[in-house]
Amino acid sequence: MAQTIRLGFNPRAAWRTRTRLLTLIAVALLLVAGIGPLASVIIRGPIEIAGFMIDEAGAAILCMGVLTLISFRLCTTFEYIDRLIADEPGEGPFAVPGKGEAES
Amino acid sequence: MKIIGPVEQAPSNRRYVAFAAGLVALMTVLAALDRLGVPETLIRFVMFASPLVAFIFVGLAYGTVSPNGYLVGDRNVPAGLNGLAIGASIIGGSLFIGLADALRLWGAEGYFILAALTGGLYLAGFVFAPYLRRTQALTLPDFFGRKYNSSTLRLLGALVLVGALLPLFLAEVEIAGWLFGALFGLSRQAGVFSVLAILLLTVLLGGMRSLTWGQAAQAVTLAAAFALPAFYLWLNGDEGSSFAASVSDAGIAARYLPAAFQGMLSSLSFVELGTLTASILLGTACLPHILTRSLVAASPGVARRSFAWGLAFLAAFFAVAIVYSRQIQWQPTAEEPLLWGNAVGGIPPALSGLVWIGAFAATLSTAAGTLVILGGTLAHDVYSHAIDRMTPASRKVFAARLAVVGLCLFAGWFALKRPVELATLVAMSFSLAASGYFPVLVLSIWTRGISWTAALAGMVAGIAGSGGYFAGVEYLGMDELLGVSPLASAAFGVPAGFLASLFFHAGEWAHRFSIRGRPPKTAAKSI
Repeated sequence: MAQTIRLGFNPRAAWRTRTRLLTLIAVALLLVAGIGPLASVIIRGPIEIAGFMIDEAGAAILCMGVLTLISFRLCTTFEYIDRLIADEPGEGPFAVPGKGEAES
Repeated sequence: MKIIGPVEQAPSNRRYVAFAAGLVALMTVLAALDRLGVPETLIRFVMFASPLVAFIFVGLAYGTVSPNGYLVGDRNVPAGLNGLAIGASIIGGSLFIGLADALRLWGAEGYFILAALTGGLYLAGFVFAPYLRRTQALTLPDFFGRKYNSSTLRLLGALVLVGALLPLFLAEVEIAGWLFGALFGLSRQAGVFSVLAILLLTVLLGGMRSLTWGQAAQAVTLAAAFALPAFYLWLNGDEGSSFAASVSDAGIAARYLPAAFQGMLSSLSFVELGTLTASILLGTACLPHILTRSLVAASPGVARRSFAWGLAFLAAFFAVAIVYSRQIQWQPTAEEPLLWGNAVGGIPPALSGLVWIGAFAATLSTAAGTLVILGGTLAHDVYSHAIDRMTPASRKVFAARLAVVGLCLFAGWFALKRPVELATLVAMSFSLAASGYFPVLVLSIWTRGISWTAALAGMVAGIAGSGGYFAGVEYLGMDELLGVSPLASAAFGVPAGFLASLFFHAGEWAHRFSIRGRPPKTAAKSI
């Protein structure tokens, strides 16, 4: 008896995976682009970039600015995915917590 | 293409632009009156009182009787205004008044604290906020109650919330009372009771609804008050006037900080500094009055974007604070209390009045935010889910108002008696929030199949790990483990929460697996 093997694209799993991956990237960016360079400057001392000396205060301002820019960029990406998910009724990025939509 | 989430008619952002423009216009008019010889005290008073009247007007104008409005502000708050409210909530009076000075005090390592605060907000925005909003929960403990259909988890969540927010609320009320008393020459107690009356006027009628719109106005005020003096000194030079003295004071940082933060942070060991930073990072991500702001947004996407705006606001505030910290001539021996009437002598009275009201708005914002979240949780999760389950919606709002009044009375009693030292408890709030919420929130949102027992185990272990270590070191004379400060007890609480939750989850999984392999029971055959 022949056995049916299904090879298909599961949109729910794909969106779930993509959202998770994006969130992981967001968390990694926090460490790599946000706190990492600041820690490096504080521990190793000021660095020179393109003729500018970046001390601890400069690094802190730079890191917070980078985090802010990243967060706005990620928001746009997430919202794009959210809109695509919304086109498929009942498709959430992952297990939706809670028990229904009713407010209590 | 569809847009997800309920899209309702939201109040216009333009009125806040108009508010900011009005603030600047008022200051210009008062500056002109100052040139004409109007007394400085009157100018400072008008500059202080006008925005305060606006806050109270917003509080009274946005009253509501619906639980949805009182607890989550009708969920129609646009991202930009919600971001302003998030920023104002996190800054509070303590950061407005003391941050520049504290940065000077802490040295280079102090920037880790700033990074932890901004990083925590970033984590809250991307890891928790949109998914909490998706659940339609009304409060943070309500999320646990709905997700696991468990009253125990709901009550435990409420306990963590009260434990984390109550010290913050009391501390902000005390700072606000002290500011108010200093401006009007009142005693500390009289200042505190005046602040409590203002708090009731701003949030009692509208709860989260009036809080949100009021906080946005307060954020505009504090931003103007923090930024405009810098422009003034940049234009006029800072000879003969200390900008830092107008927004900070040598004594404040040391007086309101716990012992671990009273000095150069470079004196801390690598482990101590690392665990403190991590505790503040995770604690900020889980602070209930910040996370609850995700529930008032119109949709999950708006909730995420609100935190991005909040982050932008906070980063700009910190950047200005860093600039100020470079100007402070800090004297460690200064014992003189903060006398802003004297301290702001270097800048014009209209500007100094703005600085006063900015500091007061920052304090009021956090105090009102914590007050509303505490009242809402006590009414929704404790009263209507544990005491009177059949309570009608109107009584829930009444219960929330009653809780708000009760909390204000408690704050008044606390100001009179001062039974415990607040600074340490406030610093502990971050660890408690991180330990109680972080593991369970991560596992609840990002994994499938965690049962209520595993969630309960995680929360109990987190609270026990963190609270036990703090109490052991602070009150029972226990030695510090691995050099970890008791204020960074989340270093034990968070791993304990994860381990306990995963241990129970693995046990349940193994149990189900073993049942699946067994043959069906044969009791019926034997009969």
